[in-house]
Amino acid sequence: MFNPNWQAILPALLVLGSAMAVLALELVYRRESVRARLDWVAYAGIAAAFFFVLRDIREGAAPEKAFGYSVVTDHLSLFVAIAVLAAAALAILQAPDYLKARGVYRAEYYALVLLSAVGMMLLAQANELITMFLCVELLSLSIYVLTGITRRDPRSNEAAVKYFVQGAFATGFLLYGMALVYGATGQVHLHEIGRVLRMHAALPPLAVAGVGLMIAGFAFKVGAVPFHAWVPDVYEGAPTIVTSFMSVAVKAAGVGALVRILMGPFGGDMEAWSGLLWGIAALTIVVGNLGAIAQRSVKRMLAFSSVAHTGYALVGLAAAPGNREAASSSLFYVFVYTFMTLGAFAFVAWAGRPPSPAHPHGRDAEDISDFAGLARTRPWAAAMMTILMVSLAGIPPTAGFLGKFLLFKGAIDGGYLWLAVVGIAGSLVSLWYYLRVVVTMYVHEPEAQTTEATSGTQVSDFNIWLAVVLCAALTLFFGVRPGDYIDIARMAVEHLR
Amino acid sequence: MDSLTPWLPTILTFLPAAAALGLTAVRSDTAAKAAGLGVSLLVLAGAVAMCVAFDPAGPATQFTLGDDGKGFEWIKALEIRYATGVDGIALSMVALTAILCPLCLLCSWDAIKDRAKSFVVAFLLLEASMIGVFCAADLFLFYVFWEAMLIPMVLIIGIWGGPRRVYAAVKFFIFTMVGSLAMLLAVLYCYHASKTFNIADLQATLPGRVELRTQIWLFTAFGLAFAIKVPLFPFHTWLPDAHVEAPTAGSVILAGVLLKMGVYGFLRLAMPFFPHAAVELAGPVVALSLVSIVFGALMSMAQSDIKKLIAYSSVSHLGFCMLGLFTFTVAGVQGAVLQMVNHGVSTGALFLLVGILYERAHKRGTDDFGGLAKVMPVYATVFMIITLSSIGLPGLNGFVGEFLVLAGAFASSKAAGAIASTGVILGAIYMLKLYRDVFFGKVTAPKHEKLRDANTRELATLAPLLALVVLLGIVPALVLDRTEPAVKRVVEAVRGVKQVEARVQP
Repeated sequence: MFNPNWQAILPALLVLGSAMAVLALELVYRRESVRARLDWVAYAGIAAAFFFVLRDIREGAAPEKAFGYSVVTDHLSLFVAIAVLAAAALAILQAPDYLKARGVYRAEYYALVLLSAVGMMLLAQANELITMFLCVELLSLSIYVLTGITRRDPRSNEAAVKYFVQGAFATGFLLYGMALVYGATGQVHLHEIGRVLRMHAALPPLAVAGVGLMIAGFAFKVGAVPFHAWVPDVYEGAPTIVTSFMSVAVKAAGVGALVRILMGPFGGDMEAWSGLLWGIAALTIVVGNLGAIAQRSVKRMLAFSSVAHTGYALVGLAAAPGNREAASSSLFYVFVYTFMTLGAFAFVAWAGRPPSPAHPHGRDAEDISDFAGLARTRPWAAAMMTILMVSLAGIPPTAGFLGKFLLFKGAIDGGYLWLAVVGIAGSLVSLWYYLRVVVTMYVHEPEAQTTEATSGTQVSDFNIWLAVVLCAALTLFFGVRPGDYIDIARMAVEHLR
Repeated sequence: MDSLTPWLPTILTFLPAAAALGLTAVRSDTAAKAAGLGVSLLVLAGAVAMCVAFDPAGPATQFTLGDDGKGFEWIKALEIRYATGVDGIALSMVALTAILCPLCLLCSWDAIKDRAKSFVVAFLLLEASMIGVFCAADLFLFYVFWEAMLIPMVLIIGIWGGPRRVYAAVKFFIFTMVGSLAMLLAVLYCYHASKTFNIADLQATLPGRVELRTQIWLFTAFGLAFAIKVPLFPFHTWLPDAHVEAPTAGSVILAGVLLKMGVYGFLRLAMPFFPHAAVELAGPVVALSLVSIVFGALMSMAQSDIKKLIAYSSVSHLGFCMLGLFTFTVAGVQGAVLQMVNHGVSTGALFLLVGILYERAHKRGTDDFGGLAKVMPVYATVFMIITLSSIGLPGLNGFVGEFLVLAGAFASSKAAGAIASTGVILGAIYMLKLYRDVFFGKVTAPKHEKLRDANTRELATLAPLLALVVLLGIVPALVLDRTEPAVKRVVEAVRGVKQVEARVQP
């Protein structure tokens, strides 16, 4: 008899349940007092999911199959789930006042964040091409809508349309790749694909083309060069709190799926795809860093920086043929990246201003000059942002340093010295624009008109502030005590054999 | 007490760090300054305890943690351990740091008015990471502290510095990071070759596991990081800017401790890890050291800004240290280590003295003053003693170090010794010329007639350094006895290689 094994997707189901509950409650109760508490329903779902994810990790059981092995729960999926759930919780934490100020406080925001989280969690669990594709669609569609959620803001609309059109195009790549892989092997389940492929000494050309197209599809989702053109516009146009969520969670899920495909069924003849990934990683690092230098808008700079960080994260996977363990450093990197980038975008949202007659859609602190003299007016805030910038630049004792240390160590151990050199050269370039933020906050004096604007009329949004502090604290914490998370990432790759 | 001794390096490292975090909660600037001074004095007391507990006849590396001396597990997945260990060289550097930090905080008492609390916090974080670098026995730990040092120093220059502080801070940051990232690459490669981050294990295994060509690359990568810090010509261009723009305390710690990091890195990592490469590249390094000695001295003679003059003299003095190191003789290396301490004391004192003058006159050109010997007699006397120490007058500290370095240099190459000796002569010229311009002759401006002599607080910052200048001049064995085992170990490691090569190619 078919046993679906609901237990295996329990965390995703809980999050899904809370998404439905949020929508239903908003329909049923029109009272303001209830609607203002909707975020607690979302927290409840996430907390419950967290509980089961952490329990599963602690028990450290063997991979659990479900739905006829279309879905699997293993360390990889649990690891990605932690990052996704944390990002979702932080995205919801930032929301209430930010959305109210822009007149779009609705349950849809919570529901869409939760639904995309469901898509991400299941994507990391998917062991079959069609499930994988559906999850990609679920998470993408939710994020397209989130991008345009401030619907009277033309920039937000533009970003949503751009993202949707280009995303649809990329989905085509992904689907085409999947079709070719199916054509080459006659299988949709990853373990079956792996079994068929292992019968060949080298990958058949059709499968190589298939995996190449799938890499391209995911490269678009995670924003890797040359599929990154949408990133700056979309990240800049989307409401900042949405940017903070999608810039990290999508990457965690996308890299998770890439690890599952490449280290799983395609883990036999890795040389077939590692060259492509090598090129993508190196190009992404170079383009992301060079692009970020030129930006005056901090939000756009962070968008390019997130492209660069995608490049770093792919270094580990590209080095996997020489050193399987390197792939785990990619996972660890997207994990720590979650907190530092989410925190940095949240800070941009926090330092901004709510809508005013001059800026009907609100103005997030985007221009670098908005940060001038923050160390004097808001010393704690400047300290938090400094921690995040230092971490993004990869300077100890932060998680960003440890992540890069692991990545480059993996690359060198695998014999990919030049990839490490590219990564380190990229880090060097990145110092320039991260340092500029710190210098602007600490050294420059606030300009006359911005002084009044930033410190006078600004409403301190406690929720966003809390998100910034949490991210900075976690960034420091994982820099000093990464302990278990490195091990979990390693086991995640180990179990894919 | 005995059970506490192995923890001394840890306590000295994390006490200032913890205090810095605690100070963020303090509201009053004065209280923060007092607390910062108190903490740095506590660290000094700890460092003195460490010097007393250090057994010169004992093992080379002491104060190790854990049963096997390899510390405790920190990041298990990466085989990174929290391991500390102090040998004679590190001990003298820790002592130097611990002495200079309270003096820096004391000398900034009135000079730093803006955001004084933040200054104290940054300074204590700097002290913590500097001591951490010297005490680290694990390469990862070393690198973490090495990098952590950077941010507070950049902030100290960038926030409390002079008019071109941002330029100077950014330049310092970029230069240092270029070196650090090259070093990161080499650190990772060392792990790849030896599968350990323990510095002692790396010293034992690396020379045998890495072929010469790779050794040369790795030595160059480490060497770049350290040569920028030293700074060795032509990597010195950040130094005059940083020194001139930094506040007095920043200059003192920059010259006193941060520059020593480079020499220390060569001694602790680059030379023992890659002895073959060190021998192979000794020629170019010695050449650069000689250029630094002469170039630094000539540049000093041409300066009209006192701070810049002292900054270039640092380039010259540190050239001596590097020369001593690459003679691969016990005398030369011992001289280099002693010279590191001496330079920290003398140049630290010189920057303090310039700071005192600048606070009064808001000028520091060599031509802005004259006849100050009459106006500020006490100050002039102290300046004289430090000047004499800096140019290596026998009986004061500078002499012994320079003598040992030159002895080592002559032993390995007469030409190198001869060129280096000109640096001593030039040093006497520019320092005495400076003294003449500032203290003798006529008073240049009427308002300089009324300059106050050094007050009690300022004398308190100078007195310990004066005492050290005399003490180390008379009993250099205080340092040399403790550093000898460690120095011998390094020299033997490199010498062993030289002899093997000599046998292979007669």
